[in-house]
Amino acid sequence: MIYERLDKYRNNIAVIEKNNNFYYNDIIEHSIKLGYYFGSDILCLIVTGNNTATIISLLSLIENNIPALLVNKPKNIASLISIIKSYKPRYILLNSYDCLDENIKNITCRQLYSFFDYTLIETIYETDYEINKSLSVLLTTSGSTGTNKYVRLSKKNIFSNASSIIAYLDILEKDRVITTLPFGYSYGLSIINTHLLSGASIILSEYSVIQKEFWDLLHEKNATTFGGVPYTYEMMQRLRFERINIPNISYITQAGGRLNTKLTSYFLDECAKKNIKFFKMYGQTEATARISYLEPEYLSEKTDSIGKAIPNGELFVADENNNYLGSNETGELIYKGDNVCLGYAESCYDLYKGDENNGILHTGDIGYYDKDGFFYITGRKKRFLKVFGNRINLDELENNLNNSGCLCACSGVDDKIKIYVCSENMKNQAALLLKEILDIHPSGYSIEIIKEIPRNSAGKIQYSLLG
Amino acid sequence: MTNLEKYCNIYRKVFELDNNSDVTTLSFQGIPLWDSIGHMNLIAALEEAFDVQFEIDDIIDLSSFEKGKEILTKFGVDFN
Repeated sequence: MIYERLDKYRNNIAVIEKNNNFYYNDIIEHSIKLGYYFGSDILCLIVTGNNTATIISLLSLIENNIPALLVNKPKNIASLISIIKSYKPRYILLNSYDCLDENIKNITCRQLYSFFDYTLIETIYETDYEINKSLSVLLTTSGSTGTNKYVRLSKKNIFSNASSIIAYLDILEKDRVITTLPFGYSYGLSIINTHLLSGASIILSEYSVIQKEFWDLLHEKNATTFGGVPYTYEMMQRLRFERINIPNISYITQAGGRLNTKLTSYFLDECAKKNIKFFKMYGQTEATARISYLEPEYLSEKTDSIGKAIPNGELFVADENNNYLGSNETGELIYKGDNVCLGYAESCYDLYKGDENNGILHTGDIGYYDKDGFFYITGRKKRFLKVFGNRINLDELENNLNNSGCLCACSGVDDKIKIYVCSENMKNQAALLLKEILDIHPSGYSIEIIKEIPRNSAGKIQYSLLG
Repeated sequence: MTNLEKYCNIYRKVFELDNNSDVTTLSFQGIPLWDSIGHMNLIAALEEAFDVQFEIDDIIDLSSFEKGKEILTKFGVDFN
């Protein structure tokens, strides 16, 4: 079904990787060939990279109704083993070079097929679990806190969210997006899906905006758009975005966490000067990617707003008893739409589950809407932070550290995690553990020694008394 | 402390390396901590320590220990 949709773009360039152009026709042909090797009722893990092979893998799995577990390629391939053990995928698609890793060799039954720089392997795992027919993609909730919690998405979720995004961004065949985010991240994946379904071209890059190669590629291949998380925008401001000449860029998007008022104002002004539309957006992996967006024309008036619900979605504010609230009343943001995920999974034994949400998502974000219907976020119900675009659940992290014998309390503000311990010994232990389980740059967290972790009479940690 | 010592120590501090460790061969993405986030931390630390403001080309060209020395020399920092 997806091949049919893409076939009408067969003569368009789908992917530009280094000096190679691949047309939609090429991509479909390669996906069909890969599809010959798949059985049915199995799970396939893709170790994603921003490359053509990952795009081919994704298309082939979707077309063949095989659920894809997406994992961004980690620095150390051995760290995949815990995910592999808990999901027992029958197949794995990964870089051919990584097949040589001892850990991967140990779980390989045989290598089935190689294409581009990727190889499809069959693992030693039997599929001794049931897979729900509606399951299509498993995505991480984006922050690595050492857990294997994934969001379960259906084909309907993926296609519905892509259609909404294509509609409000007005993505056209002539657009050329340059990649800035990993494909195993909901925002990164949504950029790929929406451009493929529009017949547009994707310029593959794994460079950061602070690398010369990124800007060279952007110019050389005539990119017209790109997206970024708040940290991307912070870096671009440091690079003095105002002096960067990018005449071919027609619009840019931002999601993956709150962009502070100062940065929003800066990009509002600079984008206006450059005649670039700037879309500030809000979403969650639980909603496949996108929930709301702010029309660029309202950015100056509603700078801090997350905008309004995407086409075909609805946003509400509700109190604790689930009663809908009126304008300017604060409560939890509730989203309704076909892009609301089926639920979560923590291992392959959760894959039998069907739709547990029925299109309704309790976002956990606290906020309100103004008299003009624009939504604002003022806080969070659950304790989590967004660090360099990664969602970090503080309770999960704290449990994980405690279970590893490191007694601590995890807290923090905005984009900086603080870990409180009571001895030098614990501090050293925490530092070692964090390097292992938290896949973010160490400047995103700090460890502080305090006399004692404040608790109330019931023994609950009083986070408000920390830092 | 000479400018060279100061320069070396910034690398050790930003990338959490031991005192006296050899930093002269460091380059962007050559060690896990020198990724894009580490890079911005390095830029901020260098700008502060040497009281300079880098241009976009300096920031994206500063891809190794040696390259950084060249760029700072251009700003009048004396490493001799």
